[in-house]
Amino acid sequence: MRLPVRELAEKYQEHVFRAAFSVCRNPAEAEDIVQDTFLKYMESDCQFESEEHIKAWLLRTAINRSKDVLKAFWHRKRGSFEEYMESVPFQDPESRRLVETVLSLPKAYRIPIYLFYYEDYPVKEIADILNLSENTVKSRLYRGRKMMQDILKENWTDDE
Amino acid sequence: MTNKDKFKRAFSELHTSDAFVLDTEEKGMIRKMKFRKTIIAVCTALAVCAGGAACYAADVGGIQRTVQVWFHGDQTTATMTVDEDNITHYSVKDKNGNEIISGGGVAEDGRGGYRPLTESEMNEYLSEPSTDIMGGKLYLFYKNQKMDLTGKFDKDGLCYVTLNDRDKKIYVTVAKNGGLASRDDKYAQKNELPEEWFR
Repeated sequence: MRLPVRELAEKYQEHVFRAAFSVCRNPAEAEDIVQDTFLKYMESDCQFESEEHIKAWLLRTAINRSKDVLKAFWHRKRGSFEEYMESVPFQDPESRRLVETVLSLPKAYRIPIYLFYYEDYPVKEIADILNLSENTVKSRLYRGRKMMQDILKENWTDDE
Repeated sequence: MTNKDKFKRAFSELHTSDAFVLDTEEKGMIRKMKFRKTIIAVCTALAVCAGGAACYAADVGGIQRTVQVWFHGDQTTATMTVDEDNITHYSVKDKNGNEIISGGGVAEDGRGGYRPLTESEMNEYLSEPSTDIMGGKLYLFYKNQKMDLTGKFDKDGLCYVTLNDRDKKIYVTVAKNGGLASRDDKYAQKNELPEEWFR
């Protein structure tokens, strides 16, 4: 199945942005990645099993593109991450600290953590999206949780 | 509240900017070309030790170094630093100490992390053509070359320039807004360029 880009963008544009931003930590780059991701969808002739399958494809594409951006040269001032975070109207300081903590984790840990806690993906699907083994994903989630717990302490529940 | 609830509440606050509009039209070859948006072009007019000039880096303490670079067609000194995240940053300041250009980059280390960029990697990325507006005039810069593009745009608002660099040619298409597309096989044409360059 295929769905119209406008319909997909309406539902998933912000999800794609958050996934991209979680990897590259630069809002301007993340917006470019959103554009690239939907462009790639338009150019591809992939047939999908379901809407969930399309969403996973979009997230995988955005995450891979974000990794490419990290490999490439970073032409923008790094301050844009801090400036963007300052501009986000978080509901409370705890939410801001949570996002900042996740984004401070090494990339290998913050992407599985994001997909597990925000996108609700089980380990198997995270492994598919990131092209990793399930054991690797479990290991990274375990270490990522430990790091979160060390930083957030009482604001992080031990939910393993 | 569970960790997942906290995540959803916190991350739901992250959004694209109000100015962001997803373009859902096909753009064909655009993905295959190197583009420079105006805002980025201002930040990339820097080429490290281009044109066969002697290249040197002097330690100035710790992991900070100075490097001779081309900026706006002239040689100047850039400071390179590596931060705690292994990201290489460069900065060029004017004679008053004001930062006039900065940026940085990382490279995958093959083990899931990333490492600082080397000077040669900086060279690869920074020695691309770029544009900047100086004194109300739009200039194209490439290594030690500096070209005033005033009066050289056609009816479509585009200027085509061939850059010669030893045994290679670079075909550059520049729009009046400073947008730039470069290819090594032929000039990018108007229908291949972003519409926002002509608004």
